[in-house]
Formats: sequence, structure tokens, C-alpha cells
Amino acid sequence: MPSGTPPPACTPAMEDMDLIRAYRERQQALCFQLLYDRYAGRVYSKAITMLHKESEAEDATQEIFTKVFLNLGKFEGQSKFSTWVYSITYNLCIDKIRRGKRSRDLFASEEAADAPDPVEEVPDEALLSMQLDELRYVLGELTEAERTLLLMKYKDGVKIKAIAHLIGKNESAVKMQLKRTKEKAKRIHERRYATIASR
Amino acid sequence: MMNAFLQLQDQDLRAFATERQHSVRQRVERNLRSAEYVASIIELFGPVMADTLNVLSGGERLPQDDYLTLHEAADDDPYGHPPPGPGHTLPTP
Repeated sequence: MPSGTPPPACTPAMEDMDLIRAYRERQQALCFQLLYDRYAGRVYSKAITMLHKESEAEDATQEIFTKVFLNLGKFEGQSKFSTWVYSITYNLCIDKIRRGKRSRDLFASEEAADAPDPVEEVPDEALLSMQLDELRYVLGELTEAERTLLLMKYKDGVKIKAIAHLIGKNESAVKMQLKRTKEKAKRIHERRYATIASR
Repeated sequence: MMNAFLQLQDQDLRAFATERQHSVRQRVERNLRSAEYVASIIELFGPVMADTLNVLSGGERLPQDDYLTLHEAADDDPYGHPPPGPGHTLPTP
């Protein structure tokens, strides 16, 4: 950009990286607001998946965006801005869980689960076809670790590899845990709603 | 038709937008302003404080010229040179 020419004003149509450059140059409140509004809801949604409490997710969202904007100078665009923001989100939530001594909830091994190993993989469709109130019931019956795993995978769309990295397990362990959780969710759903349907 | 997981996500997004988005943004802005204030204080006084600590712990102080100081010659403040009193006129050529 030639010297003396002001950088363009921030507009909602601008790409993330253009907004970031403009924010770095001008520290303009509008650039901050556009970036914040674009990602705050999704960051909150992911935080609530992991922390479960709305007030904790709200505090986490505040901390995450403070961190993001204080470190914006370090973001070089090697990855997408959203990827960078979400990785900060998950790492901060995991730190909070560890500090709160709730790590057993998130990282609990499901090896000693009372259910037998499922013979067949439960298709995603079995979960995705549930009604909202049915899903709420099923999630309420699962443990915190199982609920977090299902929500990360199907609500927030986190890949198995990323989940494994976050919770410090290998991919096959996460796949097995997910398989058992799906099976358990299906059984809970059938036990509750098949009996209602058969009446 | 959205599946139930996406409906849950949609509910989170709407709940955040209506109840929390504005207040969280204000808190983030306040944090950033505080951080900027602290950074500017450190930038302003950091070198002087570092030098003071260095001297207190027995080190040599930095050369005086590194700091901006007011010298009489560079100062346009007339302290030390009172203005001419009343009735004192400059000699006419």
C-alpha cells in the first residue's frame, strides 16, 4: 500500500484476513466488531459443548476473544482464521477443565463400560434422525464424557483426528469410544421411545 | 431439514446472540483497553525502571544522554530569567 493512502475501511463483505490486516493497521473498533460477530456465537457453542454450563462458556468466550485479539499480530494466515480461533477455544476449555479437576469427566476411559462391544457400527443416521427433544433426553442419560464426544463430533463437526489430539488419545481409541457411545445412545433411545411407540 | 444436533447448535447461536453477545463484547473491549494501557505504561517507564533496578543491584547506569532531559538552553521556559520589570525599557537604537 502506498504511504499516505489510508487502508480501506472494514466492511462485512471483507474476508477474515483483510479484516485482520485492517485491524492491525488501524485498531478500528468496526474491524474488531466484525471479526467478533462472525465467530463469537460459534466459539460460545463449542465452549458450551465442553464446559456444559452457560456462565462458564460465556467467561471462556470472553477469555478466548481477549487472547485472540492480543495475539492477532502473531497470526500469519498459515491456517484459516477460524481454525486458529477454534484451536484456541478447545485448548482454553481443556485448560479450564483440567484446572477444575474435572479432567476425569472429559478424559475418562470407557473401557469398563457396562455395555458389551457392539457387533456392528451404529449408522450416524440413527442419531441424526432423532427429534430434538429425543436427542436432549438421550444426551441427558449419557455421562459427561460421552455427551461431550457426541456433541463435538455431530454438533461442532470436529474431526476424529482433532478430537484425539485434544483429549490425548489415539484415533482408534476415539473411534472405539464413539462407537460405544453411539450404541449406548441408540439403546437409550430405543428403550424410551420404542416402548412409547408400541403403546 | 436440520438434524437435531444442528438444531442444538442453532439454539446456542441464537441464545448467545440475544442474551450474551453484546455484554461479552464489551468485556473483551475493556480487557483489550486495559492491556493496551498497561503496555503503554511499560513502554514509557520500563527502560527507566530497568535502569533503576540495575543501579540498585550495583550495576552501572545507562549514559545520561539516553534519556530526554531538559537543558536550560533547550528549554523555552523562562525560569531563572525573570521578565523585565515594569518601567524597564529596552534601549532604543
